[in-house]
Amino acid sequence: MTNDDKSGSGGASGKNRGEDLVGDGDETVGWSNAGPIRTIITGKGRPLSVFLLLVALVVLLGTGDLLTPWRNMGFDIQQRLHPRQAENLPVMIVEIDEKALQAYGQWPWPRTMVANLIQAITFRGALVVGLDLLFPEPDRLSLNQIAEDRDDLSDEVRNILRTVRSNDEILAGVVGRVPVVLGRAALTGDEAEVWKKASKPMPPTDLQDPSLLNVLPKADAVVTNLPVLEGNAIGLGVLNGEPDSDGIVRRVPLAMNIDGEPHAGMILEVLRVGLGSPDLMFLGQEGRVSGVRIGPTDFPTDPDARVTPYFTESLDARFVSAADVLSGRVDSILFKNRLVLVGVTGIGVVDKRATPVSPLVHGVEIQAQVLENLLYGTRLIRPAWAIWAEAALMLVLGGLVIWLMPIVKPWIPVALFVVVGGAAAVASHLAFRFGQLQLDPILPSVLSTVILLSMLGVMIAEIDRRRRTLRATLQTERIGAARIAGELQAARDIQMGILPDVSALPGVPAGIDIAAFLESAKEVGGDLYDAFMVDEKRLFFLVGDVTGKGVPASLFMALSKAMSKSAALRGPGVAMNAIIEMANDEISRENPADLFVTMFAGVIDGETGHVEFCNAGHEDPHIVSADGTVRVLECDGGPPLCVFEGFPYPKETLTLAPGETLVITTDGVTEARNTTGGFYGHDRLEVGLGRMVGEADLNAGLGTLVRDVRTFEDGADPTDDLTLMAIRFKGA
Amino acid sequence: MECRKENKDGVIVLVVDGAIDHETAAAFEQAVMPSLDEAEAAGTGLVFDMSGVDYMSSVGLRVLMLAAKAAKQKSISVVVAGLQATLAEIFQISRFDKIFTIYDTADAAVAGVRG
Repeated sequence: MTNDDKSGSGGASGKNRGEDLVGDGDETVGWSNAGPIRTIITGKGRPLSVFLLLVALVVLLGTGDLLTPWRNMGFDIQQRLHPRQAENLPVMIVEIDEKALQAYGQWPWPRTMVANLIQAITFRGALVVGLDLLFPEPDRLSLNQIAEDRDDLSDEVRNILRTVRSNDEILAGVVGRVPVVLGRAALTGDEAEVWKKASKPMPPTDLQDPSLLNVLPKADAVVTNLPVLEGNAIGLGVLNGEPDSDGIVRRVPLAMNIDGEPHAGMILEVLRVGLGSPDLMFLGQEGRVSGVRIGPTDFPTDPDARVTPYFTESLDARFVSAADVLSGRVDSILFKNRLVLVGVTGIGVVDKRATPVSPLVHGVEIQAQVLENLLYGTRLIRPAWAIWAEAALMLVLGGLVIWLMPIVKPWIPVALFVVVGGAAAVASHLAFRFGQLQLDPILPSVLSTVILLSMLGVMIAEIDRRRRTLRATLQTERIGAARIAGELQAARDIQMGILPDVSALPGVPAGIDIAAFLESAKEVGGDLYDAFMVDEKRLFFLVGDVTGKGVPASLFMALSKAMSKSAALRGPGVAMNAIIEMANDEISRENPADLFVTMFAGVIDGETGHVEFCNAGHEDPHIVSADGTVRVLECDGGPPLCVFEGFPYPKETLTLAPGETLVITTDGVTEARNTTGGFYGHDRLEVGLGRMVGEADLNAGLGTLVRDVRTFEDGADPTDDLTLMAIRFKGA
Repeated sequence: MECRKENKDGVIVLVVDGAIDHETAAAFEQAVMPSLDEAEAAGTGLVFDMSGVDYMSSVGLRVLMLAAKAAKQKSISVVVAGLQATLAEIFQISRFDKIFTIYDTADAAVAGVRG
């Protein structure tokens, strides 16, 4: 029956293991048969992070200009940290500023004044004068125009005024004599309709390939100046240049597509005229501009015909007040070999923009800076490979974290992340300073920080989970330990509670001295002893040892003791073997756990020292004589109780001489072990028993023997109960 | 503890090696019980070849006791062979030598069982 139970439970435990594999939910279970690629991406948090890294890669490579604002933050910081230093100023600005307005009257000035200004500039050596001004309508301050406007004039005056040349003609005369570039404004939509005229002069802007037209910013029409002016001007350039959506000017177009025709901007026209070239041409093909050719010189640009200027801070040195120029208070060669732009900066002028370096800059100064960048080749370049370098940086950072986080201490990947990210930041800043390259370390670092955080998050969650599991396990173990301790205590209580105090047995004859000692092992073994008088002169005694440990053994031990006692007390004159056989049969019937119990039991006559005994599978006891010699009482005996129902146990007899002591022990004595695994053994037992004679008191003798056993064990935990019983016949 | 099952002339021989104690008794029990069924099927008996066993505690004896009881029900014989000195002493102390037939060798035991 037990057999069936056992094999049944074995099968069940195998089944439980199978259920654990399926139901535990621990990821490691599913990975045992995974291929090498899966093992690379597995590990705590890795699948999620690899997915995030791929998403980040798609975002970085696939969204194009959407991320430009984010990159610009880094690029702006680079320029702010190290703005371009202007060593000399090839471009100067004559500003019609507040001072000039106060000295020469409100804007717009009479165009004769503008003509004077242009002449004053060219007189001081300017190569070209670019006007950031528009003259679309006739000047109302012309004297001939006044002749028409005023009705309070006499005919004589009116006729004289009519003969005077208009201000526009005077300005046109100057424009025709000196190199002047007039500005134009591009328009789109409804506004443009007014300015769409069939034919108008266009600046000499050529394209190496027609496809290049498509990359130029589009407009429908341009606001032109008076034909008399434009006809005399050597250059015409559009003035437009839109800032980015955040209001900061970072890239400036060099030309526009005006209703299907390329139209150079003011910057290019000033450069062309300044260099004395009759024409200019955009180089490139298949919709990608490589630069602008002006005379023998090629000026490289971005593929969309824009330039990303490397800005200086706003410099007062670029500006000269028109008042000072007009009044002659400036150096006579101030503009020698310089390009000069003329613009209005006085109060009320709204043409102000922000650059990455300065919050408020006049539009005309931005044009001057673009010119400087073209002349000195200092424009900033975002190379085509930049995006791949940034993707590689992100893969390295993310990969480091994903690879290392699960296998080393977390500070190592974090430190490497900071070091590599920092090195990339330094490298890209050096590339900016010494190669004017725009490489962005920030966006890849930010995106891979997401990876870092996800790995850290998963790891922290994992640590938390483990700690909770550990705590739960500890709790379970404590409960288990408490339960076991409780069981052990219960077993010990059962065992000790039913053992009699043999020193206080009632009615023990004077000829008999009896002592017993039992000490439970940690896992209570089920030893027992008993002693009681069956009649006035005969003492029944037994020592037993139940197989097994714990509560079942102690319960069986209690049962065995009770059954044996009831058999022994069945009546006077029952033979010892009959008692044991009765006990065997009765205990066997109450033995569901198939335990058995070894037992040495006997009855001693207190007057004669005669002993009847049976040995049921127990160690043979010893007899210690009065002189200290020790001999084994060799028994015939039978198997332990419950092993063989109906076994005919032989009744054996013995007569103790006065002074002789019968000592019954359990295997807890002979099989006591020391820390190195050695047994106490029979030889030591016999030596120990011999020493007992010296002790007058039997109890003290047993105590000495127990101490000897414990000394031998040397601190090793006893694995079995230790029981001794000594019965001395003192003589009648 | 190791347990190996052999069939010698229709007799099931369980060759046991090592120590049978508190830790190995359950495994020993699991090996013994199916062997009893086989012996019953063969209509012969079971021989414990103990020549490789150097120690047996009372829980090992208990398994032998269970085997003896089962054999009695199945009307087959269970015998023991090849006891080393230590084991022979254990059998003698526990008087299991009185309820088991003990042979010097497994071959002698097989011959005895076939009778």
